[in-house]
Amino acid sequence: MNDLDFDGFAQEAARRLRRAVPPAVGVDAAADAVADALAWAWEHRAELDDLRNPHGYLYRIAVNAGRRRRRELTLPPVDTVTLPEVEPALVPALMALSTMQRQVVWLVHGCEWTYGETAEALDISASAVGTHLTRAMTRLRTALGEEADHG
Amino acid sequence: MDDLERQLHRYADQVEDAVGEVTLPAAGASRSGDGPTSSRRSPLLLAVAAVVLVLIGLAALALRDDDAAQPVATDPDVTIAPDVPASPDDTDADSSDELSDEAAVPDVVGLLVDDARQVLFDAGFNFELTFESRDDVPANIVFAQQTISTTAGPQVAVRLSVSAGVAETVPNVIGETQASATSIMQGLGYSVLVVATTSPQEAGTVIGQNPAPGAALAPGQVVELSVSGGPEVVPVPDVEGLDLVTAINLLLEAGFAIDEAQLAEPSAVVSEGLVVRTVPAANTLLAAGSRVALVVSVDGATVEVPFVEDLFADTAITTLRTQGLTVATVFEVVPAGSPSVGRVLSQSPGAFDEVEVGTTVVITVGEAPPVTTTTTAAP
Repeated sequence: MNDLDFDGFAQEAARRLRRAVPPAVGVDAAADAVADALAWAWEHRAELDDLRNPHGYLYRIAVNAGRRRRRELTLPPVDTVTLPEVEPALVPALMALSTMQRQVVWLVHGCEWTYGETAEALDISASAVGTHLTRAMTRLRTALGEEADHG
Repeated sequence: MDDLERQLHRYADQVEDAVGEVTLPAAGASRSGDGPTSSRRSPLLLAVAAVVLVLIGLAALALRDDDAAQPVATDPDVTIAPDVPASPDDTDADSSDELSDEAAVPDVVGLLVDDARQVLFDAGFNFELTFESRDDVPANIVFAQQTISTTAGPQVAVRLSVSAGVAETVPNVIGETQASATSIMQGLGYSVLVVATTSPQEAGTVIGQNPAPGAALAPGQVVELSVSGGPEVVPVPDVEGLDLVTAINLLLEAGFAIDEAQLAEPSAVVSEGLVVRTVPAANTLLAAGSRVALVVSVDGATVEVPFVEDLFADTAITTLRTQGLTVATVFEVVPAGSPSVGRVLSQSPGAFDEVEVGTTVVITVGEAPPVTTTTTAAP
């Protein structure tokens, strides 16, 4: 990959990772984690072409980098002013999921990655993506449903 | 997309915005000198420098009084029509000295985007691409170029407008090679994710795509291509003696297609209507999806009964069985020491009769008398 290809690639990767990474490492660590992953990509730009799914690979690097930073894993509360249609209980419900379930549900529904992309980014099989997704969505629906009942 | 999925997506928008700006490595110090273009001036470094200089220029402009309306920073020079080549005269006069041998921006309108990139890269120009849906220009063709020069620096950049083809629907690339499908998709501004699968198609052929051809998809989204890794090799299952339905199911389960041309063959072993064998034979290694023909046993075939009289019994039995006949043996006592012991005395049906395959031929075999102690009375 030459420098010019790399620039376009890096912009696209930054755009996708900024959205994808926060639920895995927390919103505070996300920007640095993505920058770390892109720095890695620059160091290894000669090998990027050989990767089948470089975005997925960089996602993994960013998550590892973010976890090394050991910031508190937080997500911002739902901005009910701009997003009135989003249930505020969604955030605690997301945080209550296992890390893998949260990552799967986020990548597939939050970021609209395909099962294949999600599977490669998380190093699990596509069918495992389906399983985690089903369980995560069930738990989210239960949590949000209960919230609605009690509130 | 149901409501929860939509909520997740909307909340992801908010989270994305909450993440701080990411420093791209393009602006990092590690860039200097170690890139593949280190032998020449790195266009990227120069681009960064140009941007910085532009910003300085803008700042300086802002500090002056508002009457300094003449834009100093950028001097766009647009050539939309393919027949109007970019002329070196159009570039900013201040920078022309330093550009010297590079002053002529090559005209790349009408070229394929990859060729245009190469031409500009070789000529030492920086460039950026914008993709635009066009009905009148084939995909991947540069339909306009715009020279962006700065008074502040020597660098000339070219902005290329590239046709993304007809508006934002996914083209059909099934049947294309992976390389050409990828370049078509990327030419339209899509990212490509390749999923390898096995299929009877030649390795490297695109056999599926998601979204499907014709689906609306904004540039920048991902198109998943299923690419054949070549056929998987599977042994043909042994279906001899099975009925047709079972045999067909087994073959389908193993991943084969059934050849419509069903063959018929008389068989001594397999009853009428059942499968005698497959073509190719059982356990042959074939690419999954290959056609396999079934050979079904038919009734009514006849053979000529061979002449086996006077042969030793085992030879006779082998001979008859080879013809597809069944053999039953009966014994008949012959005098001890007779040459007929162990040999076929007679056969039924007789030799040279036409009989159906599978018919039982009864052979009578000579047998020595049981050993008895004969006491002969003295005369």
